[in-house]
Amino acid sequence: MSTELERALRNAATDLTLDTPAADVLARGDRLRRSRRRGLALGASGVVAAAATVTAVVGGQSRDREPADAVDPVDTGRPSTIQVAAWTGPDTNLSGDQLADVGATCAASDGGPGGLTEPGWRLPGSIPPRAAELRDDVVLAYYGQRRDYATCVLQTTAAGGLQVVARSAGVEKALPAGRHVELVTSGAGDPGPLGGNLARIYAVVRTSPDVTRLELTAAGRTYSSTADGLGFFWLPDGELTEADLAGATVTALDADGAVLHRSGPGELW
Amino acid sequence: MMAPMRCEDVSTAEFVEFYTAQKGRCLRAAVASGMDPDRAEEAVAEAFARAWSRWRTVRVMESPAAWVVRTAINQNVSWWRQRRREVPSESAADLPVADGPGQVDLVAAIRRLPPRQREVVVLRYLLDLDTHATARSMGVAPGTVSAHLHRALASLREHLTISEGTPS
Repeated sequence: MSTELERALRNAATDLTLDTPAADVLARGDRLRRSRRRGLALGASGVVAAAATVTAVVGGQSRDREPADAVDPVDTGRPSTIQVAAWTGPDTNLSGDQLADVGATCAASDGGPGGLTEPGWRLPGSIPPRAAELRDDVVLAYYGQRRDYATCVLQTTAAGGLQVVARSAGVEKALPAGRHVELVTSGAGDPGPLGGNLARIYAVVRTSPDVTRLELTAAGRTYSSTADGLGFFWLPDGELTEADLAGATVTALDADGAVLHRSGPGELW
Repeated sequence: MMAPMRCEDVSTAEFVEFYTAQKGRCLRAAVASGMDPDRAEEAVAEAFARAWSRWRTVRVMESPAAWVVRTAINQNVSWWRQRRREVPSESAADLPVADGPGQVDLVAAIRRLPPRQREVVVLRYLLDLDTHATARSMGVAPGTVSAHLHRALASLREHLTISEGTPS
C-alpha cells in the first residue's frame, strides 16, 4: 500500500502546469537583480530612514514586505497600528557576492572577549549563512553548523563597505518542551550620554518548528517578524528607549495565528 | 570580454534547463503545500525569477527546487498578511483542487495534513528529496523526518481508504 501510495504522491496533480515562458522569468530575475544592486548602493550611501520605509529601497524584496503602518490584524477595537519590520524568511535580499563580503568581513573582525573560544565563532566566512538580510543600513547574519552558531551584525559604511557592529557565538540548546522562543542576541546603537531613544535596534530569535510568526511588543507598539526556526527584528529608529526594551514582551504564533507562547513584561525570553 | 559572456550564456542555459525541468514539480509542490492554485502559478514564477536573480547562490544549494517552493510559499504568507490575514494560509487547505482522473483527492488530502507532515510529504515525494536532504532542508534530524512521514502516510492511507470506500 505504501508503495502504491508513494507512487501516487509522486504523480499527484500532474495536470497542474506552469506556462510562464522562461524568457519572462529571466527578464523578471534580471530586473530584481538590478533593483537589489540599487538598493544596496542607496543603503551604503547613508540613507537613513525608518526601517519600514527602507523596505521600499531594498528593491527586489519590497513586494514581500508590509507597508510602514499596517492595520492591526487583531481586532481589539483600539486604534493601534503595527509597525512592521518583518523578516522575509529563508529568502535573502543579499546577492551571493554581498553574502561573501558579509562572511569575509565578519571573519576578519577582531574576536573580542568571550567569543574566540566558541567553535561557532569560526563559521562566518567558512560556510554560507543560514539566514542573512539587509534592512536599513544594518545586516543581520546567522551562521549555523550542527549545533554551533554565530551571529554577525554589520553596518554599511558611507564608503560603500561593511563594518562589523557586533558578533556572538554559542551552542544552540534544544528548546525544552513547550518552549517556543529563545533570544539569541540583540543590540542597539548607543543613545549617547543623554540617553533617549535608541537607533538601529536589532534582535535575533530562535524559534521552535511550530512558530511561523513572532510579535515583539514594546511601549504599546507591536513589531512583527516571520519565523522559520529563526526570527529577525529591525526596530525603527527613535521610537524606543532601553527601558521600553527591558519591558518588551514577545508572542510566538503558529500558522493558524494561535498563540503558542507569550512572555510577561520584562521576562527573559 | 568573451569569457564572461560565455559564462553568462552557460549560466542562462543552465537556469533555463532547471526551470524547464522543475517548474511543474515546483508548482505542484506549492499547491500541495496549501497555496491557492490560482495564485500559485504567479508566485512560483516569481520565485523562479528570484532564483535567477541570485542564481550563483541558489544553483549550489542542495535543492534549488525546494528553495523555489519555499520562496513561493513565503510570498504567499506575506500576501495574506498584507490582506490583514483575513484568510489564514492554513485555510487554503479547503480550497478546491482539481486532481486528475483516478488520483482521488490526494493533493487536497496532503493540504489537510499538519504543516510539518505536509512539508515532509512535499519535499520527499513532490520534490523527490531523500530523507537526509529533507531533514537538512527543514533543519531537523532525519529521524524527525521519518516520524513525520510515518504519521503523514498513515493519515493519507486512512484518507484514501475512506475515500475509496465512500460511495460518490
